[in-house]
Amino acid sequence: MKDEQMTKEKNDIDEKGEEFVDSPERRNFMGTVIGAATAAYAAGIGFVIYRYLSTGITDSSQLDAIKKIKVDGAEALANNSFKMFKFGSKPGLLIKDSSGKLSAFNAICSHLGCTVSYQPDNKRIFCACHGGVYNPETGKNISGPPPEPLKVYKVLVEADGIYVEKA
Amino acid sequence: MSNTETKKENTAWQTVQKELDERLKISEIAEMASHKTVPIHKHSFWYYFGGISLFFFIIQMITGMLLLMHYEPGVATSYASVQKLLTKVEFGQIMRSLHSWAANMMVACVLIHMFSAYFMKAYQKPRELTWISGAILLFLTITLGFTGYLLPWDDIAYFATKVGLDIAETSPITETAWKDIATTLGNITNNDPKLIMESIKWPGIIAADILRGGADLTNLTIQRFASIHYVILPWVFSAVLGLHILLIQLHGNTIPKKIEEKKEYRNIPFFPNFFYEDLFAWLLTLNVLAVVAIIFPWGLGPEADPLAPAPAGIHPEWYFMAPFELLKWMPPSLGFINGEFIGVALFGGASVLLFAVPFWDPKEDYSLFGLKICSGKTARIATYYGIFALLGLLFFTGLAYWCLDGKDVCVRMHDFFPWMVRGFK
Repeated sequence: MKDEQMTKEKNDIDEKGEEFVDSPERRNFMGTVIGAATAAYAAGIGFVIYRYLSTGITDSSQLDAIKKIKVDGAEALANNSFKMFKFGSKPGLLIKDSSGKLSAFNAICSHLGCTVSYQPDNKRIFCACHGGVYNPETGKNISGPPPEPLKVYKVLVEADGIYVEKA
Repeated sequence: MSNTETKKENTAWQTVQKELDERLKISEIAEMASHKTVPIHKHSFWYYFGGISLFFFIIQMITGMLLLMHYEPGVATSYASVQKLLTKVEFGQIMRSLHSWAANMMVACVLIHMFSAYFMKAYQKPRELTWISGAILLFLTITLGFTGYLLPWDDIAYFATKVGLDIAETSPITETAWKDIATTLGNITNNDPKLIMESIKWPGIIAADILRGGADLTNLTIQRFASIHYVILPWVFSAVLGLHILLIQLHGNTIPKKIEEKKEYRNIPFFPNFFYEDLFAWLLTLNVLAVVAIIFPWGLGPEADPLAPAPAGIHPEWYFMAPFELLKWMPPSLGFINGEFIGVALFGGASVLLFAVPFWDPKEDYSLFGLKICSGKTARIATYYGIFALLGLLFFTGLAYWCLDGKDVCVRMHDFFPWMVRGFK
C-alpha cells in the first residue's frame, strides 16, 4: 500500500518533470497536526526535565530556621578585632571595637553577595570584591556600590558565653 | 546577488534567511542533501536500525547528562545519591529507568545493525572503513554498558565489575606453570623467583590494576569508571560516530548483490522521504522506550558490600551471557594453559574473525602476502560464518538463561571438558 503510493508519487515526478503537487488543504491540516503533536511532546518532556532538575536539591530552609546560636570562643576576643562564625548556612561577622563594644552582622555584602570582613587598621567593614564599605557599629553602607546596609544581629552576653540572635 | 532578488520586497524573516545563507551556505548544503537517495527493496527494513542506534545514543547523552545533575560518584555517596534519585527526585525513577533501558535497547539495536550489515556484505569495498568504525562503535557501546554498570554501586554492579576485570586479567598460562618458569629463570639469572613474578606482569593485569586504581574496587575505581563512562567514552564515541556517518554519506547504503543485479529496487530521496520515515521510527522507538521504562522500572539492589558473598543466581547483562556461559564450559587448565584463557581466546578470536571480514571476504580477488583470496569462494564462507556466529551467540545466550537455576544436566554438561582433562592426567 505504502509502496504503491510512493511509486505513484515517483511516476508523477517523472511524467511532469516537476515536483509532485498535492492538495494544499491536506498539507496545511497535516502540518497543524504534526506541529501540535511535536509541541505536546516538547511540552511533556520539558515539564519532566524541569521538575526533575528543580526537586531533590539540598534544602537550606531548615538551616535558615535557626534563630539563635552561640559564638564559640567569642569571650576571648581582643578589643578592635573580629570573628567569623556560621549562622545556619550563612557566614556571620562578630566585631569587638576599641572600646570593647560588641556588634554582629550577616557577613553577606548587599551588593553581590561576597563575604565581607572587618579591617582593624581602618576601623571599617570592607568587601574585597568591589570595594564596598560599611560602618562597623551600625552596618550602614557608607561607601562603594552596596545599595543597602548589612543585616544586624543582636548580641547577647549570657552566663555561658556570647550568643547571636536574629532580630 | 542577482537584481531580481534584490528588487523583491523581502519580509524581515526572508532578509534574515538570506543574510544567514550568504554566510552559512545552507542552500548549498540543502542542494547536496537533496541528491542523497536511499534504495528501497525487500530488505530495506534493516536500514532503520543504524538510525535507531543513533537515536538511542542521543537519548543516552541527554538522560546521562540529566542523571549527572543528581549523581555523586564515590563509595560513600554513589548508592545514596541513586537512592535519593529514586525516592526524592521527581521523575528520577523514570530518568534512570530510561537510561538503563535505552542502554540495553541500544546494544540490541547495534547488534541487529551489525548483523544486517554483515549479511548484506556492507563491509566490502569501498565500505571497509565504515565496517571497522562500526565494529569500534559496537565495542565502545559495550564498554559504555560495562562502565556504567558499576556507578550505582549496588551488589550486582560490584560483582559484575569484579568478574569483568578478573576476565581481563586472565593470563595465557596457569599460576603453577608461571611459578615453574620463574623458578627456572631465577636459577639461570641468579634472581629471586618471587621478584621475577612480581616484576613481569601480564598486560591484562596491568590494565585491570589501572582501571581499578589498585587491586580492589575502591573509591578510585568508581571515579575512574565514572570518568571513562561520562567523559572519555562519549567524546571518543562521538568522534568515531562522526566518521561512521560521514562514510555512509560518501558511499550510500549497500544494496544486496542479488537485488542490485536483478534491479529489484528503486531509489527514493533521503530528504524528505526517508528522513520522515526515520523520524517516524525514532518516534516509535521513543514511545516503546518510555512505556517499557515506566512499566518495568529499573531496579536497584542492596548496597555493594565487599565482605558480602555473591548473591545466588547472579549473572551479567544479557549481552554478556554468551561468553559467561562459554566460560562455564572451560576446564580449570589444559596442561600449562589457563582454562579461562581458552574461553576468552575462543570468544575473542571468533569476534576478531567477524570484524576482520572485509579482509578475508573482499569484493574482488586479491593477493595478500602471496596468498590469493578468491572472492567467489569467500562470499559463501562469510555468510556461513555469520550464521554460525549469530546462532552461536543465540544458543549460548539461551543456554546460559536456561542453566541459571543450576539444573543437574547443566552441571554435568559444564563438567564435561573438565572431566575429560582430569581423565587424561
